[in-house]
Amino acid sequence: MKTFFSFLLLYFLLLNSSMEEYVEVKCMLEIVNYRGEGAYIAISVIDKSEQYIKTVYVFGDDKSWFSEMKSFWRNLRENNLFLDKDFYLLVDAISGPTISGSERRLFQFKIPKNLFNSNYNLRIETAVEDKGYYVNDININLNPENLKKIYQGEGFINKIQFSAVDK
Amino acid sequence: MISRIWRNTHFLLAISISLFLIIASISGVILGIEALIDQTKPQAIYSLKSQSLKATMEALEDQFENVYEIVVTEKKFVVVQGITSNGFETFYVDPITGIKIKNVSPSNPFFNHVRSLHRSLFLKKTGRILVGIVAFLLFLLSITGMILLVKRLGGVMHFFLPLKENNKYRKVHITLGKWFFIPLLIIGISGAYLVIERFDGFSKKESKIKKYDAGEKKLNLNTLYLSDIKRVSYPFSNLKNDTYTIELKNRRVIIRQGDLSIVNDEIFHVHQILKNWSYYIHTGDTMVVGFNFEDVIEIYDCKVRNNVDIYKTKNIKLTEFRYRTINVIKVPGFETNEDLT
Repeated sequence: MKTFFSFLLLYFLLLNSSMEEYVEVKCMLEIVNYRGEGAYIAISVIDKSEQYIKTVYVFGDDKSWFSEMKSFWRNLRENNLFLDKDFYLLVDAISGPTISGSERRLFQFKIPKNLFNSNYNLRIETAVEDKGYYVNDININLNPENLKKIYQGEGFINKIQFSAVDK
Repeated sequence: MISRIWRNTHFLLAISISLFLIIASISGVILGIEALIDQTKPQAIYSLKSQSLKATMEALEDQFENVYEIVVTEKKFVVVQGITSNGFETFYVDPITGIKIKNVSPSNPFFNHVRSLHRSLFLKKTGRILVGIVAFLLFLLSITGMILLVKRLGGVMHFFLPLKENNKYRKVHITLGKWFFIPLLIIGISGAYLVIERFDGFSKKESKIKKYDAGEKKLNLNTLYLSDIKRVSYPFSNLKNDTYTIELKNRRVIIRQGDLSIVNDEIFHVHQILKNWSYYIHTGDTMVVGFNFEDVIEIYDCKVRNNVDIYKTKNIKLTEFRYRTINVIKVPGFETNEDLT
């Protein structure tokens, strides 16, 4: 029972801490031209030792394929985040479908303001069933300057462009 | 003797794929029920054919701060991603009024599992190949069955005559075979095609891309109807050179914002259209209109811009446009200055 309450407390804290300030980032993502199944993509904030701080966006809504994103999946497994109720606390937005070859998406995600300018990286990992997995398709230091540029990924990402949304 | 070969083939095929067929048929029935449930949901829109993209975009503009994407799914849902008063959201809308119906929730895990079983038996790549082979064998099975049946009945002419058969099981087998021959053929061949496509069976065939200069050719959003559209992706920023990407069933058009002139017009290869068609006919997610040979953009090019508005008010669909052009224009009450022929 005690552990149960401590869990409750933990969630309460987690939820409360999520009330803090966010930076809204608008993002345009273009996938390279390939054929086959859609790409699973996870966008997460990681620290210098590659620990996952927060996952801000996931493309692909069938959780049974998340294991293709190996690093992201390892994080979920190690932290026991299998169940929906645990998982959706961490991932704000599951966007729905995957992105197929040469498609373009326009979307928006939130990053807590305190993660900026303090040695955190933004990692975008991509995986396509039997076509490959890229841990660091995009991996950039998280600061406002970096989020104004256009990047080309090393894997399935052809082009990605960010812009912070003014509130 | 020859009849015996057919009989043996039919029997061997049936034995070898029976187990897979049982799994596929049960999971298929469940997925069919899912499709049925989805069609009765409030977000299923049945007036996509008469709703132009222009009108939809204007309606959405009135309702929401900022629209990022419009998606028309195979299930006739219109999904919008954009900024509402609650921030960034993904939701279903009514395209006529632009009013939000409800938020998109993650798809049901039960149906996801069933779908995974149906497509790949939970075996990923191996499973998909296996299912593809089984689908093709089902196609062969129904053909051999039909050959045997025609032989047994003594010719095609006897096909619809009453059956003389005393054995109950045989009688049921023959009757069901008659009824379901064509559906089984379709399911088998479309399923096999989907798997072949999935494994890059035609990867060498590229789609045709035409490029245009600024202002050379424009796209009229009034003549594009939601039933033709798969996805509209809005420009990233207000910059003049930023583009809309409009994905239709048979092509992808990139247009500049502002004057709506075409940058890039990519016509998909026919196998991609065939794939869409196979998907529709296999899943029944939408009506079988996958073949869209209407050349939407070219129609706009022949100076009929003003008349298109008349058509819109008369609610005549684009597909009827070409053939009706002359007749309709001569109806008294319509005044046009332009000579259409």
